[in-house]
Amino acid sequence: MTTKTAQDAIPLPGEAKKKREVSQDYWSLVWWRFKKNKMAIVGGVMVILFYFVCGLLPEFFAPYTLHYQSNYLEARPQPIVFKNQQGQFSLRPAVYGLNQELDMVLRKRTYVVDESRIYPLSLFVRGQSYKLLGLIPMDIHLFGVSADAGEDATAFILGTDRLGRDVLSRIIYGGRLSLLLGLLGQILTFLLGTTLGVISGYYGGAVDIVIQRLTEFVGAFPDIPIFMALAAAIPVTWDPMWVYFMLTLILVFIRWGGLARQVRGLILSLREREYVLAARSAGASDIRLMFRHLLPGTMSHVIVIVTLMIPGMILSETALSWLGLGLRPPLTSWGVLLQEVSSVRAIRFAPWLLYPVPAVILAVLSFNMLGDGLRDALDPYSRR
Amino acid sequence: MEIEPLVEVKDLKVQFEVRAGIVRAVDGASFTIYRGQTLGIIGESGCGKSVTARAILNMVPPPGKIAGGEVVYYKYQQRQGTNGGSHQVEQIVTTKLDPDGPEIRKIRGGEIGMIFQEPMSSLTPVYTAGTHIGEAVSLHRLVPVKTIGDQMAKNIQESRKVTKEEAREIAIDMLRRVGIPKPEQRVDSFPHQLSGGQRQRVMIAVALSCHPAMLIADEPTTALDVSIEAQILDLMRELQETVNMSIMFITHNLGVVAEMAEEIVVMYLGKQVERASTENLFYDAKHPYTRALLRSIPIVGKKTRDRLAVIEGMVPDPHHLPSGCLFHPRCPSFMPGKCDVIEPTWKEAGPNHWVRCLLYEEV
Amino acid sequence: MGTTVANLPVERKGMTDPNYLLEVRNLKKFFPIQRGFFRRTVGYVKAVDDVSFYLREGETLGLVGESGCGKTTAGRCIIRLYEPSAGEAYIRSRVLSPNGSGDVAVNIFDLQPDQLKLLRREISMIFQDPINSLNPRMTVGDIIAEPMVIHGVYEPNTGRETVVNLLERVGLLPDHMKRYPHEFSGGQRQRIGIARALSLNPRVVICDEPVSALDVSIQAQTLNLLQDLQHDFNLSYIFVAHDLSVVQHISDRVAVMYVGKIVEMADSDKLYSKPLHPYTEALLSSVPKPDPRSKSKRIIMQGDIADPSSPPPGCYFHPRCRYVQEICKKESPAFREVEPEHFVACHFAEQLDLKGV
Repeated sequence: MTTKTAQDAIPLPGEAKKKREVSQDYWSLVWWRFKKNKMAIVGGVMVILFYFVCGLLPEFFAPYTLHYQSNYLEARPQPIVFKNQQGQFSLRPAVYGLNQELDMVLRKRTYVVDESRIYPLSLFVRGQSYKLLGLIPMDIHLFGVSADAGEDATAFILGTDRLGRDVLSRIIYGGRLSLLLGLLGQILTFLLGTTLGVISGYYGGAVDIVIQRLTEFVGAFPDIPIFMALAAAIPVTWDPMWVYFMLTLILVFIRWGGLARQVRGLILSLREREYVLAARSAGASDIRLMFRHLLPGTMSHVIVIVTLMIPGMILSETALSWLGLGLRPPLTSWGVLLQEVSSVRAIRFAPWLLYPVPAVILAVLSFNMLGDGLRDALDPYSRR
Repeated sequence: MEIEPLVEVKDLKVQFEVRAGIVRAVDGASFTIYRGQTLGIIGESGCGKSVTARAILNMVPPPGKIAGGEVVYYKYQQRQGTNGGSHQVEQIVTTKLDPDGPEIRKIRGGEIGMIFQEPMSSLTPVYTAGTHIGEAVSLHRLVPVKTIGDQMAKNIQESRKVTKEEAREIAIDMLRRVGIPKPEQRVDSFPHQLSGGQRQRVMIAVALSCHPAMLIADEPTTALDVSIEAQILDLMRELQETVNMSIMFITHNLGVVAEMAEEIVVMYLGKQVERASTENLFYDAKHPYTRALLRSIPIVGKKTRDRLAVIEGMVPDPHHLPSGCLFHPRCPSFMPGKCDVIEPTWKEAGPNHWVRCLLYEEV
Repeated sequence: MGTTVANLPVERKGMTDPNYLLEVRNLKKFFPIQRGFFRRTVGYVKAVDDVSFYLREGETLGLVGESGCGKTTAGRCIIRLYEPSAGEAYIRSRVLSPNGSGDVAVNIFDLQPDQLKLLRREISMIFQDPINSLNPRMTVGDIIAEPMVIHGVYEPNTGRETVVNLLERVGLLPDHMKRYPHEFSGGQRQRIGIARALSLNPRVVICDEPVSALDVSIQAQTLNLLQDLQHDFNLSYIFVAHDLSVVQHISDRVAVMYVGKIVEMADSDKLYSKPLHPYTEALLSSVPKPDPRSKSKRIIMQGDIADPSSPPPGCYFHPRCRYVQEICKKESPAFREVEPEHFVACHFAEQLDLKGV
């Protein structure tokens, strides 16, 4: 029996015009389904925002530069209020000022919020200078307190750390490394995993067995010890960017096996499909079969798998860096930021230093929503 | 054999609401199945024959729903103390019952059984509207993880008051009757250990173990080899004779329906287009679609090497149905100005021979 | 059009008859059954077990049988989609002949990869499943052109023209080139598959159940198309199917297979009217006839089809045969020519008087 879907029968000539809108290729159909999923759109937009804000233009979006140390050490976050300088309601957001106080009980300086001083926030303020994209010197930031408000005007929306650095700015900068590491690592994993998965699934036999054992061997290593060992093997004298790159490779090394295994499974099921046999019977070479016929058939699954693996990488990097096994200062990622909250003292007295955590959570959630949306859009048989 | 009605389908309408609109999967089907009779329903994919069967048991899967008409099941009961004498009749409108309620579930399996095309086949047809059949209608489907005996016993116990041991005995007996060798051993095997033909026999055994008054067979032999098909068809006929069971036989295979059915209904795009006795249908088909269908099949034994007569064109998209008579764009007897404008009605064109075609109407 | 190919396995006495275009001899394909951790081979599924047949130019040979008989496997072995376990398959090839003009009989199973690739121009295949036989991510134009691309004969202009011609020849519109398979019905997809199979001008086309998955009325259209194309392009078909009426309609000669062996092979009309093998007789009588008045009593074969991994001793059909004798249980019958061009594998082929349809 033939499969009859609503779009199956080609209409008689007169009706051809009416059907135009449903003649679409696979990816257009996917996009159309994706668009209908609100959660997926939200996730997608957020992912794009993350990469744009943190990955591409952090210098612009962050009110302060990465390493700027102010005099306000471990200052409380300055809450945003909607008042003008006279204290009346205003639509324009402003922040309260900070005062230094001496805490006699703890015997240290603390910085508390002073509601008497109100500094309105402005958009596109001139602030510290930086080089946009590493090239263009600029000093405009998306928001902040304008310089004419005075020396004491500060806008530490999420507080500062023990060296007086703005937490919000560092989160934005930190996102760059965390997110890019996730993305870069996943791209490498994708390349390595799919290639080996395709070869393994297509050829079978000895090649397959070797690659399979390899993935199992690699996958059987306990994550943390291996990471510790490999990270420890990186010489301290290395340039931080190389360290970053090596860490990415290490994470890829641990992860590619899972992807290869899944791709192999998909290839095994697609290998005996009749269109593959048809191409073989026409004389197609192995390479052509693998990369023109088999691999595209796995793409829908692979994209979903890869998208959903990115949060895993982000989380791994965060966890490992927080443990001190990954990136270290001066490289700044979310995990590195969390290194400073390793003690109870920090959590008790400066809990705003934990703000990188919601950032991680948000990033992970966004990727998950995007990944789920992709999976639903790419699966033609899901019930809707 | 008395000519008593068992199931009466009255102007049944089933619709599916999908993204692109409403698909009228069944649009006004009316026929009666009598006790002990076999009715064949033939048509190609998308004609609505499977949906009709499910509607009889009020089992249309969503997004489909019964949009009009009704199905009446005449329940016959044997009076105590008589043996085949007078019967009491109770009329149950199945389409009005709650689809998940206890009454319809008693009827399903207990009074009206159903067997499907071999579930492991890759040729299971898909609804025109894109809806998947089957998973929601797991009536008597063989579950892979339980033994045959367990599944049959469960069904038997649902419709009859017997103990577990008695149900097992009944199951073994049924397996023997459908021709499974060594039934005492087979009763403990799993479905995947059986061949396709054996699985179908087990399905028949399951369906018959509750002594239904009617069996609905939806393409039961389409996925089977010819030699096994012959066995199954023989079995069905033999069982029908012994228990005076009615059969509603749905298929697209004209050879099978010629053998099995006494009366045949032909469907096209949800509409009944012809109904007649089997002989009249094959030898005096009136509807152009039926005639074209009969001419387009190669027949074993007929030594023609010429081209087959084809039905021109394609089955239209259910969302863009033709005006007037649904078959007119492909009809060799098309009458311009009439067939594309007027919808033909159901008319008796010969003794108990009904057609839906303007050729037989005075217009 | 020919090429010079070195080390051609030309057989002097390969073909039995110079009129044959394709001849298969003693083809076997066994699939190992592997159990256990070390994947030991515990047995074999004898999918194709010593099968021999031939095909002339312009002819259609039907390969018919029930599930497990090996017809699909045999078809795929010829084109070496599966590597055969034993046997030979000779074809008169033009592309492989030294000067391109005459035919040269080569053993397909002995060809080197580059020679095999050339041969793929002369034998092509049509598949059964209209859904899965076309790559859903490729346009129809790409699908049809792919064989030409693979063999490097696709020029941007002429190639496109060829695709358009093929589309029109199978009854589709040139506009359809840009569409994707899922936009077409089953019958149309089969046409696309047929167009693809013809894109390199083959001589032999192996049709693997091309109409089994189609509606009855679409079957008729597709069969007509295949016949027309055969006539126009002088094609030779190996038509694999399980539907006996379809096979009779389109085939000149028919071979009936059972559990990996051919039990009977003869001219189509002869086989159907006067079979010589009990299985053929029973099979023909099992087919439901669309004729309510036909009173023929069916021969019901007892039991199930034999298991190709452990077939019965002697003649594979003996447990289900009405005419079984002692010898049938012990000795496997030879496949022999009992009448001119009528081959049977039965000990009692000459004695039995069997009914056809």
